Amino acid sequence: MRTLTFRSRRLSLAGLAIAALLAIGASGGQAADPFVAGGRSTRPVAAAAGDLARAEARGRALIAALGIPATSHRAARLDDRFEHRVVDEVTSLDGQGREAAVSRFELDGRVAMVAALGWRAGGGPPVDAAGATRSAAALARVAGLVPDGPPVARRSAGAGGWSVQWQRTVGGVAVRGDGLRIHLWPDGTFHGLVRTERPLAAAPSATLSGAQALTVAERAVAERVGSASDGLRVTDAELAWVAPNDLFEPAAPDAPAETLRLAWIIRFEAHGPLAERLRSVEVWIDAGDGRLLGGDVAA
Amino acid sequence: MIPARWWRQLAPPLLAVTLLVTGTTIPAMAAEPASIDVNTTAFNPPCDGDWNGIVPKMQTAAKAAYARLGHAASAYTGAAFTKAATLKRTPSDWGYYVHSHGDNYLNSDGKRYTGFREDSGDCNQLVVFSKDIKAKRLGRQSNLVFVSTCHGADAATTMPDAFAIAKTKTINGNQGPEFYTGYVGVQWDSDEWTFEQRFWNALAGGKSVGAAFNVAMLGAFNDAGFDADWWGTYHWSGAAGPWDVCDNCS
Repeated sequence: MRTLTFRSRRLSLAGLAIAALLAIGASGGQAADPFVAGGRSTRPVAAAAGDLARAEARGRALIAALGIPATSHRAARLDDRFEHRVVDEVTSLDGQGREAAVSRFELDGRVAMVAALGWRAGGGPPVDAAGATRSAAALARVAGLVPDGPPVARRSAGAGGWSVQWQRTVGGVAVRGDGLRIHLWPDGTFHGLVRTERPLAAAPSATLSGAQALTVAERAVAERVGSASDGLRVTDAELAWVAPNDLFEPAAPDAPAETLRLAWIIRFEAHGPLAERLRSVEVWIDAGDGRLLGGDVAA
Repeated sequence: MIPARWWRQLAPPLLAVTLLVTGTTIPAMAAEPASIDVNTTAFNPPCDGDWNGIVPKMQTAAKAAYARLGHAASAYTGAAFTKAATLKRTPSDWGYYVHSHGDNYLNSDGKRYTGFREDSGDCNQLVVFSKDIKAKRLGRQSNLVFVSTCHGADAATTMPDAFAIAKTKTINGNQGPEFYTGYVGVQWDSDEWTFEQRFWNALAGGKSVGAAFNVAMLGAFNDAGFDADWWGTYHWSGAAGPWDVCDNCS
């Protein structure tokens, strides 16, 4: 009996331990719950009514300030597993019940994105790059944002006219994909806005030199691409913060990593027969420990 | 006399029943096909010695998205994505997605056309010209066409015409249940993946194709010069098939 009791206690303890492990595993899995290609990247999550009402009020005020006509608004909280962030999305509808704008806010109330829906065929007189930059700066202030650094204005078909960007930099090093970008119609009026500021890993205490990174990248390319590397030539090497990806690791998560790392970006361009199939390859080398963080391909 | 009159009276209801039955069963039995052609070989062994993890995800996402829109979606890569196979399938395709190497290629007729390379499972990849597709489709209507290649949506692209999609942006009216999108200039896979995931996700959330494009353009792109373009009916839902209810549906 004693033995049995002891065993049963041990079994109970083991059961509790297993249950606890399962619970930890389940909660960890749920927390990670990675985005999987083929599925949706956003999903609604529960939020207090007061939070949604505040988001709706923010959306209503912002849309009005940007001059987008809308008569009603609805808010929902979304978990964006591709971008690794939870946002409050406000959809604004016009008098006919059509969606006029979508705005997203961080949970601290800062604007993350605004898209004025629809497309404009005409408008006022077109502005030049300087005019687009002035308009974008004014619109950023309307949205409560203070642009940092020098803006770059580019003509953009997808933006509808102009794309004006303030690239985020840290210590003079670009953070790829981060910053403030404002889309304008050709006459400089508002079309869209996105502000991205993702978490960065701690900067490495010692950084590889460009020459060291180049050696690592060339070795990685030679090992991985084999004889095709003969058709690749290095054209550029720069330091930047990047979101590690699964270009070279198909088993890695399907979305870019949540936390960006300082990397050497080594760019190769294709020549000869290889250029018939791809144009450029980038290899991202961790600036601290020389690990391969991912890369990119331009076909 | 009597049997003839009797048959004459029976004909209209019989015809009505037949139309009702076929009208309700045929669409359900034969969903509009969509082909998803993805060139994996160009970016993987044996052409490139390493594996590009991004491209297969694009294939998976596109196939799922076309299926959500109501298409009978099929994906092809490797030896299944050849110029011959693509051209054989295209007359019956309502939707089409391709990810490959694209350019404004010189044709043997001395003119340049937008095109893309087949996969074919080897490193000798033929160009599928817009001219080839146009000759097979012969003006047949298309739904959603997504050309995920470089130069697929340049201002001078000839590809929309191959799918009988006029290069106009119809905002308040409609030019039919059609939408063409793709990239301007040379773009990187990581940014294309970000754009496509945002586009598919917005469509799945009930946005119109135009609104989904707007939302997709606001991604965190690595290349600040990322650009895409579109033509078609902005307020169309993207749902497969012809417009059969009204001319202002979204």
